[in-house]
Amino acid sequence: MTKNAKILLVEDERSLRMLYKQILSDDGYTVYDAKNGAEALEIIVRHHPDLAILDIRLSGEDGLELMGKIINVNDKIPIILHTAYDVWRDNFRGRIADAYIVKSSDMSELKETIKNLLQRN
Amino acid sequence: MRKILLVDDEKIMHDLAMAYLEREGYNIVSAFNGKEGLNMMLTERPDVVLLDYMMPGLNGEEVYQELCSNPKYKAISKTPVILLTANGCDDSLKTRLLRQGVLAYLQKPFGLRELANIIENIFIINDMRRDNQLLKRAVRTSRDIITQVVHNAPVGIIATNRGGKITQINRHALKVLEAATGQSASELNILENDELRNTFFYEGVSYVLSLGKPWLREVLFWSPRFAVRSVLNVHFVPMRTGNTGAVDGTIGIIEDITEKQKAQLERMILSNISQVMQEARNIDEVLQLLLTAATAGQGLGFTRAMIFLYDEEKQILRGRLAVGPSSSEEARRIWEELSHENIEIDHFLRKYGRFGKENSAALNQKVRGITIPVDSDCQLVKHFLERKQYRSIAARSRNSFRDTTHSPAELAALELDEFVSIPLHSPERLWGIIIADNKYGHVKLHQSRIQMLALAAAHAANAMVRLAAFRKIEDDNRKLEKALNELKETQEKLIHAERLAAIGEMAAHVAHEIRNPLVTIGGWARRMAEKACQNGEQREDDPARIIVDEVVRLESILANVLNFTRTNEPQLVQGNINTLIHELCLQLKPEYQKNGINCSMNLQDNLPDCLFDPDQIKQVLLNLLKNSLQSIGPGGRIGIATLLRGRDIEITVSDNGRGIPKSVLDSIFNPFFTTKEHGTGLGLAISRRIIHNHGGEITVHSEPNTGSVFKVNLPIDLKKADDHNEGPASLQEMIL
Repeated sequence: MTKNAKILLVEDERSLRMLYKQILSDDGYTVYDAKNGAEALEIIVRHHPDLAILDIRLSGEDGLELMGKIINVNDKIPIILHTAYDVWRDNFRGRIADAYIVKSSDMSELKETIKNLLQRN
Repeated sequence: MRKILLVDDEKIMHDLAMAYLEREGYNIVSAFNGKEGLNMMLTERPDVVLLDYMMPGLNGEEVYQELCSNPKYKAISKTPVILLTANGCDDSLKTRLLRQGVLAYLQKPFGLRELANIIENIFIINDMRRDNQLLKRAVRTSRDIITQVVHNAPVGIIATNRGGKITQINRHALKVLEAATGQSASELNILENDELRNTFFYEGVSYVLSLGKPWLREVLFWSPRFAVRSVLNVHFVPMRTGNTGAVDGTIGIIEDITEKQKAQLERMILSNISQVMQEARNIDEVLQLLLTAATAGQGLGFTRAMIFLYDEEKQILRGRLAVGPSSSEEARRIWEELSHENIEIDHFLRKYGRFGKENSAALNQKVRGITIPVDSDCQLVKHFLERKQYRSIAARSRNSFRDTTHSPAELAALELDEFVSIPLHSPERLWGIIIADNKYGHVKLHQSRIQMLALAAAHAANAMVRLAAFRKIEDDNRKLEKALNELKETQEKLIHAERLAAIGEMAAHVAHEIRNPLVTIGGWARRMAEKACQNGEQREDDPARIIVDEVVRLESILANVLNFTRTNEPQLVQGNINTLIHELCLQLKPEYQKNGINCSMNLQDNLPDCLFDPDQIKQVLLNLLKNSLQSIGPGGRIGIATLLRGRDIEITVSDNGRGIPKSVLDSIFNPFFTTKEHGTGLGLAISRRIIHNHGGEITVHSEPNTGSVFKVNLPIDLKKADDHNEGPASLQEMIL
């Protein structure tokens, strides 16, 4: 299930979006990328991704609000909050997510978490 | 007009006498026999009686005898009588008549001129005699008055003649004189009595007699006979009786002013006690002064005095302080010592009242061990609660000092016989009680001294009220000062926190802005490096790998900055600092060994557990140890020690490195301050934040080229972390 899994990547910054898409594609995932909430929800409905990676600080609605909407559509999809900020780690909304990862150039934690969550499902 | 009664049987005599004497201005009445004469004496009350000797019936002599002896004529018996005798009567008759009291006689025949002369003489003599008697009576009366005055005067009065012999002395003066001479005689000569030679009697009398001037002295008079010491006011003045002005004698007035002096002395003692008490600086000092005043010989003169203070909450009287001997031997010794010290009471109080000379004495120990419940049914406690004095009289309690109707059983050890207890009270408070007695003194309690003790106790209570008010003011002042300091501290903290918050906000903002591009750069570089690796092109100097490493370093700096801006509240768990240090040293051991560092631990045995956040404290210690590591060269020494200091655990991290220059020592805990080439300047700032959040303190002592010592104090009983909260709790919101 882990290989060829479909991953929703929500990231408003283009360079990062490209980076993650490349890296995750390298690992054999099918990556659907979105730069805002509206795009993300459309992908959820259309492609039924196996996992979602959400940046928190987005232009427009933030990742936490988006997370709520995604759960409303599909409460089985594992969600990783992926952010430059550490401060929401203990936020009660942050805790709803399956994982909370602070962005780093070293993506091994992200990769490991994706793998684990996909395997779990 | 003077009236003359003529008693004669011859008619011719009557005519002649009447004719002549009436012309002379006399009133003549006549009687012709003795009996008639006597009756007329009663009815006419003549001023003089001419009585014929030779008469029928009673003769003149018989008439006179009747007049003198018959009680019927008592009122007129002193009437002057001139007897008229016949020619040729014998001298023995005349003598007899004169002896019986007849004033004169005339022998017939006599001339009328002669008769008139005799009558006139009689009147003159009679008048003189009467005047004389009046004078005598007047003299006797005034002498009686003087004697009365002298004897009943409230002062001693003594009079001497010019030779010094006592002529008059009243009982008061006699008492003093007898005390001085040891004799009971009042008939002595002051100037000649050896016993009086050195007394004021001799001095005063001899002064007045030789100089004729008054002599006035206040003398201290000791009577060995009555064992009484008294103060006398003595006044000798010269007595001058004639017109010459010569001194005929002396009059001395001796006034006993002992009581007056005593009262004056008592007033002075009380005023001294009050004054010294006003100088007292605390309540114990007041109590000590009161006890010293009560027991000092120059003061109130009780042998023992003890104070019990009232604990209203526990409803007990608790022994606080006592002064006095605990045995008669001790009493004798103390009195002997004190008798050599003849000093004024206020000096005495200042000398002994402050330092509690007798504080370690057995009585004090005994009293301090006594507590009396105030629900006790005895008189002493009842009177105390009613704020009244209580006096136990020896006769009533001699054999019953353990009789609990008078004093509580708890006081049995003090063996109170006759004692007085006086409450120490002010209108708003019952402070306690002072008990005083004359144990070992064998002198009865004197009412005046008890009154003085009550007054002294009132002074003490006043002083205590004053001190309590004073202490309250001091407390309030201290509180105000503390509040002011806290305010200042808070203000400083706020300023600091605001600065930190501003820095933190900016830092967080910058960090986040940088993080995303860094992730992009690092991520791509990492991918390139991994690709190269997969393609078997692994090279040490692969530029992509260098970028990856540098990005990692930058990211760790960012993590530090962000970490500082959001140092969390410590997650407290019970643990032991020593255990933590052991773990830490084990972790650092390889690094120390690699650098040839000697790390010594000196941990206190049985260090108590305390509440702390292990991760945070570990971070602090790691930071300190790493700083030390960086400041020393190979072969340097690092020490870590723990010590229980009061309710704090003190952790010391020391090194013999290059130290911190004095100029920057104050800044090392400020954020972004660093002396290192690659430091963020946040390590010590974070450390201090963490320690403050634990309610502790971190300090540094450093000597350049000698080394540094960092001390971390962690309270065992954790204070509220709020005390040190520096504000950035809201930083998270600010970053949003």
